[in-house]
Amino acid sequence: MTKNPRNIRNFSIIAHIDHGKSTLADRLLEFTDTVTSREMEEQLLDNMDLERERGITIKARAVKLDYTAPDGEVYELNLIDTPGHVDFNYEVSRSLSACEGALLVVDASQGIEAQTLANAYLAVDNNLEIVPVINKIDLASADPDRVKGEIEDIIGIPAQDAPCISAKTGLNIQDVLKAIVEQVPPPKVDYDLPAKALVFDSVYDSYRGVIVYIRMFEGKLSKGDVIKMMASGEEFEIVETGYMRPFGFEPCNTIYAGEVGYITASIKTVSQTQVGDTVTLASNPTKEAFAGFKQAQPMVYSGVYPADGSRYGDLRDALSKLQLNDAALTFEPETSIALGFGFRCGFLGLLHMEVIQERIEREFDLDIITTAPSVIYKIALRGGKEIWIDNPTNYPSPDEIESSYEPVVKANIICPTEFVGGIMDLCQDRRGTFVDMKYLDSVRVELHYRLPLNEIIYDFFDALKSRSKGYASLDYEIADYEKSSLVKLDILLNGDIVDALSFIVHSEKAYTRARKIAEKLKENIPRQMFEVPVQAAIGGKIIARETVKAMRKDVLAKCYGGDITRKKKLLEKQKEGKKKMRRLGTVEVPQEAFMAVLKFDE
Amino acid sequence: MPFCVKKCAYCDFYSIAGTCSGKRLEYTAAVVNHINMYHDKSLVFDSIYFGGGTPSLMSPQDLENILCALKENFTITPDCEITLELNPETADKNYLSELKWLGVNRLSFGVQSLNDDELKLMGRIHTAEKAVSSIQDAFNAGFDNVSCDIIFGVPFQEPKSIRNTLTELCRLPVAHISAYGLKVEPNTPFARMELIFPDEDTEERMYFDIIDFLGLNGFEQYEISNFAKKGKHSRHNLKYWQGTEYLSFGPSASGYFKNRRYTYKKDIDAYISAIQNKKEPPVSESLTVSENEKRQEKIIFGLRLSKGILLSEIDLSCYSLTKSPIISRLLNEDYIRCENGFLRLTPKGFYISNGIINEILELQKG
Repeated sequence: MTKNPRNIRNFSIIAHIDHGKSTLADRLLEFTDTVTSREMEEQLLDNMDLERERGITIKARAVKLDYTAPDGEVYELNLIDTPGHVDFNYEVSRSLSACEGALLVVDASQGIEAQTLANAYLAVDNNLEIVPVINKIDLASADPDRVKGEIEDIIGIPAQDAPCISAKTGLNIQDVLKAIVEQVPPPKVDYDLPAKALVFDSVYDSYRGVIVYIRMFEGKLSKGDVIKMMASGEEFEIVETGYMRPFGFEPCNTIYAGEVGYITASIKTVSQTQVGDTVTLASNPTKEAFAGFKQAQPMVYSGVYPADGSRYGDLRDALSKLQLNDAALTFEPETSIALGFGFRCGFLGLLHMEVIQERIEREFDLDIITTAPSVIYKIALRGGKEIWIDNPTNYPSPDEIESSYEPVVKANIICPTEFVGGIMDLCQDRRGTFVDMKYLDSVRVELHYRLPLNEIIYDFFDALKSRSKGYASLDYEIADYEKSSLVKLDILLNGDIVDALSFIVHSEKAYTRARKIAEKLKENIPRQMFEVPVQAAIGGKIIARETVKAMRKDVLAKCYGGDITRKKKLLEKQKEGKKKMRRLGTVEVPQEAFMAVLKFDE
Repeated sequence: MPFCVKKCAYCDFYSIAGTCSGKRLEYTAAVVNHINMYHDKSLVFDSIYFGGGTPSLMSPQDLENILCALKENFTITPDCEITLELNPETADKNYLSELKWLGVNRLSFGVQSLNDDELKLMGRIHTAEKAVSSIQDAFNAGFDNVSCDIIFGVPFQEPKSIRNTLTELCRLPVAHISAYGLKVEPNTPFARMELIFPDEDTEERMYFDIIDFLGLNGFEQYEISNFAKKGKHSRHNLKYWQGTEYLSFGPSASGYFKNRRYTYKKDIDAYISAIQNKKEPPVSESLTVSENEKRQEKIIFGLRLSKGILLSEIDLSCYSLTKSPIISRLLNEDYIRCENGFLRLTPKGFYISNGIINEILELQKG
């Protein structure tokens, strides 16, 4: 018994951050009576706390909606939500390729942004039917006609009939549903071919193992089938198949071509079912896997250490648990003289890094110290050997290096014309190479730069926002490796190198950065009993120096009568403050100091 | 004695402003009854301290009633140190001789400064002149153990002014001086006023000036903030630093008895009514001190004393100290000394004593 594939619509929503993607998804759920408004929790699809707070989607989600059209016809709408950040571009592309269409949500006053554009191009590349939707028309500054023009001019798709809605107030949501049914093509299906499904996400569940989110393209899958993951080569027996519903999983007997659903098969970690992999039957495999599968590849590395050294084991457990659900997270033990035992962790990008760090602190109640993020450098050694360096500590001494290479990205920045000067300055300052500039309309410009990744991973995005009053948007993808002149900068406190503060920097930048870091450390290290010299050095050569003066007064010289407890408490309070610091030799360094040195643009 | 004529601008101790004579009688009765509740002749005391507030607002009769109660209920040694804190303004000749007659043998004057501008700013009710004459009167009344409190780090204060105050005090028959650094406490008038305090260099200079000047004038620094002529150490204050037990009576008063540190609530009415109902007054704090905490207290408070602490009492040795790089450095740079089995802080060390004490505590723990 099969369904009518003509009544299935698979689509995702693409939008710039804050343009209302999640709110629209909520409205669709509400409008199709999949969720009643009483059950409705704001932005249901973003169900990680962190996602709701940051207003972004980190993991992809999917949900099946039942929609009864005005003519009485019942449709099965599969909404596949996509992550909204450049760190997760690959995941976005996989989610998109599971769909036939995409809603392109554009803010009626802000217009198109870099991320909108990047995702729209991804959708076009995946041959999706793009359905533009103009959101936030209830705002006074809304200018739907201008934005429609923009969509036509910049993306090149008709937009005059685009639904104009307010996801916030629920205005014209029915137009969106109508457009989905009319414009997104139904899936083309062939039930008789060998089973072939695309993995677009997976989540780890402690009871059922990994729940694999799939889009069935050909054939069908049922409970008991032995499946094969074509990239990893692993085989599993299906325990359950079903659909994703807003409030949980709804088991079904079989998932047919054209549908979106899940399978469970006692899979232990998500790394066995990576996004982009192809699921087929072990006994009767499909001929070819889906193109474009990529092993999750960390781009940014950083040392993660427990603030309290005795919690090393807890940190390892936390990382292992997070990894069950995140194939892009890698970690391996490392040791720092300054910070003790910890882990070198690999992340997709800076946001991914911050998200993981926050989850460790929140979900596992662990205080952690992280070292400066580093990209992976390629070093050609004298004698022809080539090595990859993701940890400044392992950087070879200059006389062993023949040449060094760093990763470079193609960056795409959209901003109002008035900020172009400031942003070009910033890109120049970050060693960017100008590629070209396009006027999107009379007030907005799209800038293309090649930028070294290590200039982006610190505070580039913050700097961009501050120089454009928040109007500029950024999107980037890794391009290639470029020959570069790199040096390792060491930081010394009280004459001793603090390995956790070392980092790799372009030689031209070394002096300014050394001075800034020395200043930052001086500001962030509280006065101690003794004066603390703060130095920055390349090789053995000191290139910057500051001094944290010795503490002056640190005494309870007030009369408290016989109130001994009060005096004791004051002392203890001080001791508490010290606990949050790391002792490096005879110097106490607060955790913030490790992060503060990463902010350059002020 | 929770009464003051007027609250000072820097003070966050508990007291009720105004003379409130009616309440005073009621309060004295409560204190007497409270003392009766502790009746135990096997308890021996060699020091009694009337602190405040302004104890000198109590009438000689009030004080007599309390002293009698103490003598009836406990064993008071013949050489008992009996101290009373006075505001110079409230100390006339008659009152002073009454105190002498009652057996009070040590007076602690709240002088604070001998600079009238500073006194006004702090909200003190007396002048410098009155302070000087009161001290003289006390001596004439037969008091040979007079202590003065002074405060340094007062807004707009210069080192010169502290030196002037000390010079004058040293000319007077003063046997003991407590020099406290001003600390702005929240919810005091000082915290609300936008005042300019001496900068850290100046404040530091003041502290070391005080030590040097008093040293030259025959005062030995025996604790971070306390200086005494030979044999005139405050027996009472030493008990605080040495971890001796003591009883306390009155709202906001802190005691240490049977391993318990406690502080009565800052509420005179609750205090009086509890006593009237023959109950122990409400406390704001009550902590049993464990053996381990006693050891910590030995470090925290023992190191405030110039003579320091016996290393063997805290299970440390000079050698074990040098294992900590910070403590080694503190020893090398003469912040602390290790002599004859004692560990002690130098004046330089006193000024950063919190950090040092925490280091020693840390070491002792590990």
